[in-house]
Amino acid sequence: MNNKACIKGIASYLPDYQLTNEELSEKYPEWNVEKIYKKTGISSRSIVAPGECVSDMAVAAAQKLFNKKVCVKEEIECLILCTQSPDYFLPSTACIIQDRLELPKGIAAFDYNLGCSGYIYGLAIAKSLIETGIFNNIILITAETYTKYLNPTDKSVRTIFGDGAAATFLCAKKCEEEMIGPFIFGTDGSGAEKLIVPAGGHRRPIDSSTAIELVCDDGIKRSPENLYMDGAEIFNFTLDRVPQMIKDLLNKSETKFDDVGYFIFHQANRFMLETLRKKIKIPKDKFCINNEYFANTVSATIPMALEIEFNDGKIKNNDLVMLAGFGVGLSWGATLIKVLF
Amino acid sequence: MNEAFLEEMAEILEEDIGNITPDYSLSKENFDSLAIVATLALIDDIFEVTVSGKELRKVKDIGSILRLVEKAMGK
Repeated sequence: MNNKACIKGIASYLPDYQLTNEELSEKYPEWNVEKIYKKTGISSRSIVAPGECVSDMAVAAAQKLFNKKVCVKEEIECLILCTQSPDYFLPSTACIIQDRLELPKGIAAFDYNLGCSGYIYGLAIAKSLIETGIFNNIILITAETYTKYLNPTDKSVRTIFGDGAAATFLCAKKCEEEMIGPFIFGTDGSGAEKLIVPAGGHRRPIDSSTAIELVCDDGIKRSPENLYMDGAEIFNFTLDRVPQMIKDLLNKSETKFDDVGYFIFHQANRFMLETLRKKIKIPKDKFCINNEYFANTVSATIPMALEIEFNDGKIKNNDLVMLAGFGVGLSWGATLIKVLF
Repeated sequence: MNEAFLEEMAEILEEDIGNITPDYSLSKENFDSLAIVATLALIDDIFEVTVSGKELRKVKDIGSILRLVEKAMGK
């Protein structure tokens, strides 16, 4: 019997501070509380405290896995962190987390840089490492502090994004059936500028000019150090790619649409999710929209949503669940899983 | 003129349906980022075509949206 990788548990961490629709509406009076909720499906977003970083959230999320006795520190062989808001350019934030969690020094630890498709990639990496016999026990952490990149006046993104971290424990299980996979991936770097923080890397280092705010063509003030999202083009990309990706995954896995028990897509915002659901014709009771209180935490939304739906009984062990991530890159990916919590 | 389209546009613009005509004027105030994304979804749903977000952001009235749609449909 072969070793198959499986998802054994998830724990999430959200920062204390909740940015509510009431507070946003005071800042942007043209958008009232009801309108923000109706369009985004979000009531509040968690925002990191000043000085709170990805490693702090990642440590808190992973510590919950240990507290819940999902796994013990001594058995961890590899720590993988997905983030686009690392503590430093170098070293890898995963190394800092290894030390802060007092994990054994004999483990592997590394970061990888992806956004909304990041959790799907993380599952593919972890599955590969486990099923080739390199490791048996892996912690995959997806964590972001995107709100640090946002211009305070940019209502188009401040209503949507929140900060948070999710830690997933994956381990080897002796069985014949696949617990994760197959996968579909896609990339279109020609859309890189549709969702970008233009300054701060080596292509455009921070200098006195990068902090200057200019009014962009959508009428919103931003500096090149701020996150820019062309919401309309990201939306078009999603409508164009995601339905095809779902079809491709069903074909590749030889799965019938009706045999998928539940669908968890990247929790971008309710409007985008509802549009996708209708276009793909997924029944409401099989489709997850549950980020009302955690908002869009980028690569952390899928595991956060999965944890909530499992705890609510909407997903049970061995149910076939489709996961799909899509966004910054442009990058997209989808897979099928069966959890075994 | 597509009635379903105009009805939905009235909803998006939070406007009375009777006021929605091809001349209805669009500005940054009433046609903000949320409204633009909602319009893209509507066009995809009703006409099954995609128009560019950049082009849609530039339109000044409802009639121009319909011309963008016709262009995308190859009419």
